[in-house]
Amino acid sequence: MATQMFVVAKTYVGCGGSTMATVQEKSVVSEDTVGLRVNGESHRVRVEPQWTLQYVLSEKLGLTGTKEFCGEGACGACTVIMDGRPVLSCMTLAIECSGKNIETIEGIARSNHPLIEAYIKHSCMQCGFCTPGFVVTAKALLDRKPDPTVEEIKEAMVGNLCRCGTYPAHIKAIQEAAAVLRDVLRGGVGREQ
Amino acid sequence: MKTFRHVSARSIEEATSILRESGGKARIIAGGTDLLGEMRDGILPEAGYPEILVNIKDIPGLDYVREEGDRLVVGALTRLEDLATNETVKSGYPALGEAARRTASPHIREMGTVAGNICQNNRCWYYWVPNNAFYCLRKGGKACYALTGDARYHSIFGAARVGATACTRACPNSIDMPDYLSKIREGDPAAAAEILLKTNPLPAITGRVCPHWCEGDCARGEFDEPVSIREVERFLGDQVLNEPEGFYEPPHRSTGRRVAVIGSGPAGLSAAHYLRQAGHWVTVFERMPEAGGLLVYGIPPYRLPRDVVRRQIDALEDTGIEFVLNTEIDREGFEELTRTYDAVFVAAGAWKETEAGIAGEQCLVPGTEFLRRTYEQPQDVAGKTVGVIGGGNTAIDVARSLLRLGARPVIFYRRTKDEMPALDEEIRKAEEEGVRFEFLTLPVGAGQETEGVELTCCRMELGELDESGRPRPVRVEGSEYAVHCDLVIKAIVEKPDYSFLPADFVDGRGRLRLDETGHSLRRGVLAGGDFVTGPATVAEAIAAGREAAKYIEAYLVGKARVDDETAPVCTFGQRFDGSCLEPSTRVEVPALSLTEKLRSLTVEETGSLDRRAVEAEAGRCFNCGCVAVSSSDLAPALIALGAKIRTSQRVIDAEDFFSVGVDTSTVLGPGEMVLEVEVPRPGTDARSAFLKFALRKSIDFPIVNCAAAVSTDGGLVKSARICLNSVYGAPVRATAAERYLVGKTVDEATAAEAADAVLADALPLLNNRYKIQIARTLVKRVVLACGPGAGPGAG
Ligand SMILES: Cc1cc2nc3c(=O)[nH]c(=O)nc-3n(C[C@H](O)[C@H](O)[C@H](O)COP(=O)(O)OP(=O)(O)OC[C@H]3O[C@@H](n4cnc5c(N)ncnc54)[C@H](O)[C@@H]3O)c2cc1C
Ligand code: SF4
Ligand code: SF4
Ligand code: FES
Ligand code: FES
Repeated sequence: MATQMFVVAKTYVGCGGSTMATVQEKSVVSEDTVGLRVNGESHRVRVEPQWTLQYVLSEKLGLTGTKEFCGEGACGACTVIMDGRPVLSCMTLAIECSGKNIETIEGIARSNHPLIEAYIKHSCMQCGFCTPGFVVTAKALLDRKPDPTVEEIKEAMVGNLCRCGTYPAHIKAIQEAAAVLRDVLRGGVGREQ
Repeated sequence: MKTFRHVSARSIEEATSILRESGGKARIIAGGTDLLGEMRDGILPEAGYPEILVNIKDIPGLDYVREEGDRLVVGALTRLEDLATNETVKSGYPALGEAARRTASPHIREMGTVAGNICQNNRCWYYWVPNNAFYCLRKGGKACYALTGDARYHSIFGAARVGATACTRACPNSIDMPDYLSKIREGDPAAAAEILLKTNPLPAITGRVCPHWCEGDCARGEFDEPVSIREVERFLGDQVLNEPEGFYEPPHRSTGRRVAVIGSGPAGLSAAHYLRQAGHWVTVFERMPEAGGLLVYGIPPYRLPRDVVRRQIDALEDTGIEFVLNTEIDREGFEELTRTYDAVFVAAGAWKETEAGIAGEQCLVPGTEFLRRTYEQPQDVAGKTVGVIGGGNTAIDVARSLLRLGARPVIFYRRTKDEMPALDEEIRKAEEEGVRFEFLTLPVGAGQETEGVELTCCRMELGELDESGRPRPVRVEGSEYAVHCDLVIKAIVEKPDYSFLPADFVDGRGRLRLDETGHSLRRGVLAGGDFVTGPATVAEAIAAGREAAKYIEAYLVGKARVDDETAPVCTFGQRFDGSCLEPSTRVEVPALSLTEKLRSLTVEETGSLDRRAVEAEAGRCFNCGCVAVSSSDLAPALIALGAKIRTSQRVIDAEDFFSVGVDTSTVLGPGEMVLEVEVPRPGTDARSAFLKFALRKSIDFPIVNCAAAVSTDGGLVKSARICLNSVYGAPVRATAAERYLVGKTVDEATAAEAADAVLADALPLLNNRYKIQIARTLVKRVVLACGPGAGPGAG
């Protein structure tokens, strides 16, 4: 009885979809194809309601850099940036992401963000499984706070867990990347020798 | 994750109407950090999964934090991070800002919403373990694992009842055991008996002969030994028979309606009792010279003394039920009853012998007849070998009676002990007492001899499973052999006798034609008990009688049947004494020695517990409930600050917003949605603070958290509000400490005193006593943080 209550329409939302059904008064729309903007590129993906964003990124879009580790929101490995916020893609339904701007580790790497070089320089990874999540979280921090204090870095990174215990290195890397970014902003060359 | 339908609501009305119309099948998804965790791991019982998720994130206008006049208003969709970093909140409402800042991890705060946080499901790591590894009480299972296991995310203020307990669920009469056991613990056995009598009018009888499914399912059984519920029942049953006044009384009003009950077994007695209590005149017709049916003529007196049955019948008679004995109702008599009474209940039991299919069957004595005769005039079978055919309770009763008459009984059963339908407890007793068993043996022929009977038996082996799920016994070719017995009794299934009913009450295959409720034969003519089900148990017959009484009552007063027995759900504050969690053994039931037992057919084999023993048993009851905790970090801050929650239907004080339930932790009704949180601006003389103790600072639920808001006047406390969370199924407001603080200055000593007041009535579990110490320290510090010594906006 419940399912008859509202009308379901297949609709493409977000990237110039074709059919946007508006039905009577009680119109509620259930999407099953979503338009995602990932790293500046638009994708149209058919999704099932229970698919997480992490699943769609890695299994449907081939963006395997976003890792799922705990799968319960507790480790930060699956972090992506959505409309400026660092969020957990394992706890996000892909069906709710249409029209959202999503940045993944691939986008950050492609843009040659100074974090990448700093992470390599400071050997921030051992097994490396947690690293994409750390980098993405750090990127979100630097987007908001170009000059974070050590306390602020700790506070922002506290939801990323590393089984290999690489924590101290991250702080140095993030500070260094922040400095490079500030140089860039100031119009400097911004690259270390 | 299981699939579901996903709907994005675009307005509050849309969201609430879907929720309402879904009949509880839809859930809101906001940030999803709580809900998806629950859904991803397959932790919910099958029925608990939402079929529809209503996404509310796209509803515009629900994401804001601003001051309006003298209060702060926060939209339901506000992210926790935005609350934590909001300057107005940090400076003006420090307890709230700090609570938000200390919630979960940065990522969860970026996703999680204010409404989602206060609506999050209660925490318990047994409950949240993936794939239902602990199918606990809250999910409809038997036991709560936290009572005796690791309990860091669990209550120190007692359990909350979530649905019926395992014992109640197992009982055909849904007796509320924990409730009446609590009354015994409180020293009020009369109140306990009253609860018992609500659904079982014959506790002295069931207290002796019931197979006690309740004990089989008792959660305590998973820990050490089940509570001796039946013995307690027997004690209360004897109490009410010793002093029936106040328990079995004539009704206060009379309806003038007359009901005839055919059969005075437990089904008939139960219906008669409940109908009489409803004010009707009840007449019970019985063909035997004594009332009680199987209680008198079936169950042997060493298990159920006749005197108990008699006193039970007397008590019922004293309420005004009329018993007409020695009166067999035939077809004509039945027609007359239906004409002269307003309603008739047929509870004539199952007495008719069935054919065993043995050649020469006429020389076998039916088991029920033997038991009946044994009661009226015991046979002289001393020293004789008596064969008993069958594997049910009647066979065991016959064999054990034979032993007491000095005979040597041998039970012939065609399957093995494992398949015997008799109760295990009875089989064990029969073995102990020396009944011989011939398993996998089928008597196929009997021949009368001058001295006794020659029985031809055939050996059997077990084959494929049959419809009943038991292996089918198959004859071993050529295995026939002869046994000589002095007497052979067949104790195989008895059937109800429908011959006195009008022909149209029975279908072509000889089955009763009952209506869709399974109770009525015709308007105002109902049937129940063994008469409908075939041989069952006293407890089930009582249940059938009570159920029939409800239908008859509804018929007589012309209203729909009322169901007043729905399991208690979510009662608040069902507390228990933690000392019951220490391992203990059941009290020993006094019993006769083997030789004493075998000496007499009529001396009861077990004795009653005394009051002390009964209290000890009642003290062993866990009073099963859920001890998961509400662990929202915002909740205590909101309660301390005197916030209100505005929903789509009403405005609720934050303090009244939380409740303990199976899948819910709030008082929200179906289709109700949180829209906004309003916090009054604290006065200039007020300070607030929030503290959280968690295992890891990075990301963890609180072991305990605490918020306080204190306003002072000239250094003295004017008013204080203190709230703890993660210590009970809902936030716990520390009113005792608040009262204590008024009029005092806040200092080390008063803060410590306040903390002691909060924890004075804590009821820790077996393994979380340490939480009391943590809570005490947090309360003290949070109070101090609101005191004069602390800087502005302490946190
Ligand atoms: C790893 C982890 C650690 C955590 N640690 C903490 C912690 O330390 N402290 C803490 O307090 N919490 C903690 N949480 C819980 C987290 O804070 C909450 O899950 C979050 O705040 C819930 O918000 P949400 O919007 O994501 O809720 P959702 O998951 O979307 O919803 C939660 C519940 O609320 C209902 N709901 C949501 N919005 C509304 C509404 N407007 N009206 C009525 N019902 C609604 C939903 O139906 C659902 O039942 C933790 C969660 C995780 C996964
Ligand atoms: S505390 Fe509640 S949720 Fe946890 S095991 Fe016990 S009954 Fe289940
Ligand atoms: S411990 Fe008490 S409440 Fe729990 S199942 Fe046993 S008798 Fe019932
Ligand atoms: S995998 Fe998403 S938080 Fe751990
Ligand atoms: S480098 Fe191995 S988990 Fe972090």
